[in-house]
Amino acid sequence: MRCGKRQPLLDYSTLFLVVGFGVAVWLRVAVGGASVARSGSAGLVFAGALIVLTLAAGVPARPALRSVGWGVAGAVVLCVPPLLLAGGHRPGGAFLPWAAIVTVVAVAEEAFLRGALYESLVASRSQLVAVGVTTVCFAALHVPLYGWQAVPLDLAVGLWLGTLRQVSGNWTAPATAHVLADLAGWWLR
Amino acid sequence: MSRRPLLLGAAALIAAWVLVPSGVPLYDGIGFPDEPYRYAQPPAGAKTTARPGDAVGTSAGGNGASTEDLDVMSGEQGPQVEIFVSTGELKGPGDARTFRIQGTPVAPAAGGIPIDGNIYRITVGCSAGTSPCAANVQPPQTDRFVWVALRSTSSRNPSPNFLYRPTPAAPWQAVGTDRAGNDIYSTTFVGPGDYALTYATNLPKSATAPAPSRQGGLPLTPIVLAAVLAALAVIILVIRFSRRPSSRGISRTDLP
Repeated sequence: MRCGKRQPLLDYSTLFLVVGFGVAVWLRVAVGGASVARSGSAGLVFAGALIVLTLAAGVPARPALRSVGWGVAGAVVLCVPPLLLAGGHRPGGAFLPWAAIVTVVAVAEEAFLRGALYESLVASRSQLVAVGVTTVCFAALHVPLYGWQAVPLDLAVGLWLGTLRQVSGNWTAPATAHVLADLAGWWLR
Repeated sequence: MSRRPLLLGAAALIAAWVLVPSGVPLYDGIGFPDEPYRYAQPPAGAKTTARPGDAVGTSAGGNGASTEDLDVMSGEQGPQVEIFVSTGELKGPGDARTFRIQGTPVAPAAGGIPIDGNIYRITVGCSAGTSPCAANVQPPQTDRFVWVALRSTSSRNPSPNFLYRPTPAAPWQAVGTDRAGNDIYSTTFVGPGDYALTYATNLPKSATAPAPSRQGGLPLTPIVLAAVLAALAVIILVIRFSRRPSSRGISRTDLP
């Protein structure tokens, strides 16, 4: 029985996950310094921190093959605007090491945001709150990398990835979309 | 399954792209690998590239000093020069309203010490109303930074060293060098003039004030943050396992 007590905004577990996420972002900035946006080692440290938090919270639902289809469709939507607005490009450097790091970072982010944190928020609040909070967290983590000007776009992308999570019922879909969109960035600039 | 969330999500995405012009379709991950080094005057056999860019920036001033941090870098993918000046470190006359700093790539002259890549000529100035004025950078105070970073043409070892000369006619002096990234090296800004990297081992005599490092010592902040993160993970784990027995028979709403 609730006895008229108000439900806290976030339960302790969710609160610690959000705080841990903030610490992970701070750690990434501390490791990467002025070149945090380009630092592969800072990205891997960040991914490691998120994986630790995800494992502590309990890895949510196993990847589902059906969700991969949602993810591919989601990636197509993410890639259409840059495809229309940006010219073809290929930066110098080796693709494979870059792609490996990008994939690890993107999967770790999705496992934490649209996996552990999302599940925790759904359990304590609702799907709507889960999509909202993970969207804000997603945008916030990019501020040290790309500045405040990227916030509107990252909010929209976070919302899209959250929507994919909601409709597919699994974090595999946003993870697939996220990885594919990031990798497509090699040719779309 | 309702299509409404998908349509709303896609609409938000399109609106963001239309409202916020952005040339960066990279939603996450790490930056792209560096483009080939851009030479002011490409050596024989170097890849053809666009011309290297300047790093230019301005800061507001008040009471004869800059009133905001100034971080300027050139536009290459993997900026070839970056200059950082903390608030208050740019000094000028009391009525200076704007401070300006600029790093311009210059091709090294033949002969002399072999320079890696370009020389970067860094100038500092200010303006009081419509008139230009002379400005300089004071030696960094505690917790403040004034540094220059240059990208080398490769990340080979041993690392290159920083050189500085106040004017093109002055001899090069070796100054303190920190490795700030895979192929990025930094030094404390000792004054306007030319900055360059060299892989030569027969270095000229050091400048009189070679720069305290902006790094050095144990990386305390990352260690503390990693410890905090580990503690949080343990707390989350404890909460998770402490909830397990109750979740079998008692619903959340039954709890007091």
